[in-house]
Amino acid sequence: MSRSLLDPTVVDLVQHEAALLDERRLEDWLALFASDGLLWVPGRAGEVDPGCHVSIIYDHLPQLRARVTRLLSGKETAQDPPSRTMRAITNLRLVSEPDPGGEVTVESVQVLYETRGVGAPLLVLPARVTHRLRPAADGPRPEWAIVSKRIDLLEVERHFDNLAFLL
Amino acid sequence: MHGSTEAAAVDVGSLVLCPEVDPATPHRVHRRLYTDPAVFAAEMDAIFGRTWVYVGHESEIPEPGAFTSTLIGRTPVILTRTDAGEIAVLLNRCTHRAATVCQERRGQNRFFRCPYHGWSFRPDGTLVGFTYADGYDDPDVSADDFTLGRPPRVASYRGFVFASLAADGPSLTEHLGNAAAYIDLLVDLSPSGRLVVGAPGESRYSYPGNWKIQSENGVDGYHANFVHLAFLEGAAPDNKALRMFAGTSPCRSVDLGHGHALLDQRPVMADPFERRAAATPQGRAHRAALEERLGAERAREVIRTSGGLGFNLLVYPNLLFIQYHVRVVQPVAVDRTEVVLFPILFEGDGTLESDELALGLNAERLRGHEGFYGPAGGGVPGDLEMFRRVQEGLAVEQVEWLSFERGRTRESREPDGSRVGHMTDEGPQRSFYRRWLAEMAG
Repeated sequence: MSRSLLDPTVVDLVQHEAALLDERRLEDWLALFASDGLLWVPGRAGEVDPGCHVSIIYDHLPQLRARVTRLLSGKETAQDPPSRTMRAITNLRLVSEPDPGGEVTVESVQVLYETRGVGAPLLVLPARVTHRLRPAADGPRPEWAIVSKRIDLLEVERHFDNLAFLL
Repeated sequence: MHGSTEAAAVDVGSLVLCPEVDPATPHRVHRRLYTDPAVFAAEMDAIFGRTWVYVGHESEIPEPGAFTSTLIGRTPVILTRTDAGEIAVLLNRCTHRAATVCQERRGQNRFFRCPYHGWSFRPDGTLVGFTYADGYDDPDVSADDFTLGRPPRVASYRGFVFASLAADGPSLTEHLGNAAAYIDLLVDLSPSGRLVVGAPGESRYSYPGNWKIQSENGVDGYHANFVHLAFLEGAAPDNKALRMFAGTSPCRSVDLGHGHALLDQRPVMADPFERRAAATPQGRAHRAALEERLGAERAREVIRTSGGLGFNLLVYPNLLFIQYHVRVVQPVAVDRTEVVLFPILFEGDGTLESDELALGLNAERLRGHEGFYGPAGGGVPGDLEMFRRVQEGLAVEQVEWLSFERGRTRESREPDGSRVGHMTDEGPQRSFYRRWLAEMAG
């Protein structure tokens, strides 16, 4: 199923999304999501049932919007000072051919580096990230809307510290 | 690092100032409680080595051989169910040469097999036999002598299993005291009366700070409007959430005695809980199931509490019931703590109607839990930030004391021995440290 030659607009979407997060342009980032969009960070490897098992994040667009409002409010103690992040993206591949509606699923390996303030230890969070994308007629990146973004953290079983920045 | 020699060297009486011991002093706690490895070692003996410590929920071990592994203080233990169906807590330490026999957090097996020399133990702890048994030719050495150890006391309350490493002491019911009624309210909220813990997984976090900072914080009504302001402002348009923790709040903090404590949110939340239960088909089905099982009066009380939505409960020393979860505070070192939050879900009674109701309520509970209490939730990261800063500030040796005086003169005594104060008062923490002092002083 995987193809080595990806539609350049898909590659561009995934990289653009990461850049918006790293630049903390969270309102612009939200605009990439479809109205039924979902951000999901499962609580264990291989999760298939978020209805019966706890996740780290399971936010549809309304919750995601509230999250962004909170993070940008200037009152979020967990983000004072705010995180600085870099997302390195690799191993990008298409894992499903377009369905009749044109939706595709693309997977990447992303390494998220995070630090805050001065002297905070560097946090390294490797993850497999799965994007479900829908052809979109409008929006800031007209080619695709994010139907779901799933982040499978490599160290999902560990005791985490403050992950307020995770998106 | 641990040991009774060091423990004896800690003069705890000089570390907690308590007006009930000396009326001339304010209520203060010395910084060494959070920074001194000798105090930590003494706590592992005097508190975690003696008192009742939560080890898991019965629903985590439905079948013989099902198990979870956890810690009592620094002592690794396994909660399991024997082939005869009895609950057993085993010391997770091979009786041969000490390796732990169970590494997984949760699972199901017929034997705990020590990987070092292949010794296998049944769920009741008995050794199946020696590997290469001909080497054990001494007639005085028998497999029966190598049964896995057990904590001397195990007891459960409404499905929550506790163990004590001490042979003597108050019973679990005596230990829980006034806290038991709130566990009842929480369990009774299940439409079928059955809970599921463990299978829904857990949220885990850690912080570079002392374990008591989390126990204090779980029943601290003073910090919410500061640390969680951004979340609370976004949570409810009418600022109900903010009102709950304001200086003018009608809500209460309660010192339940025995070190246990409560934040009681019901004065603000009970009416909305009851209205919400009447407003949706799911809410009405929930109420109907409770009325059938508990009667109308008790059902109403249970709904007006809505379990941990209506209160935060601290069960001394390291157990919290908050919102939809049971939380275990795990001391690792004097300045390192791990915390595990187990969402508590409902189990149906096997009928389609009941199972569907549980499924609907459970999804709501999981999403509500993640929204605030996960490591990326709207609440926990802010608390973790404060815990880290408290431990950082404790490095200042020149300022020795932490103050827990808020609301001391305005608290009232109840007939059951509890003390009631304002939501933002520090009665819960005074309760904790009174018990801490009594246990540490032996």
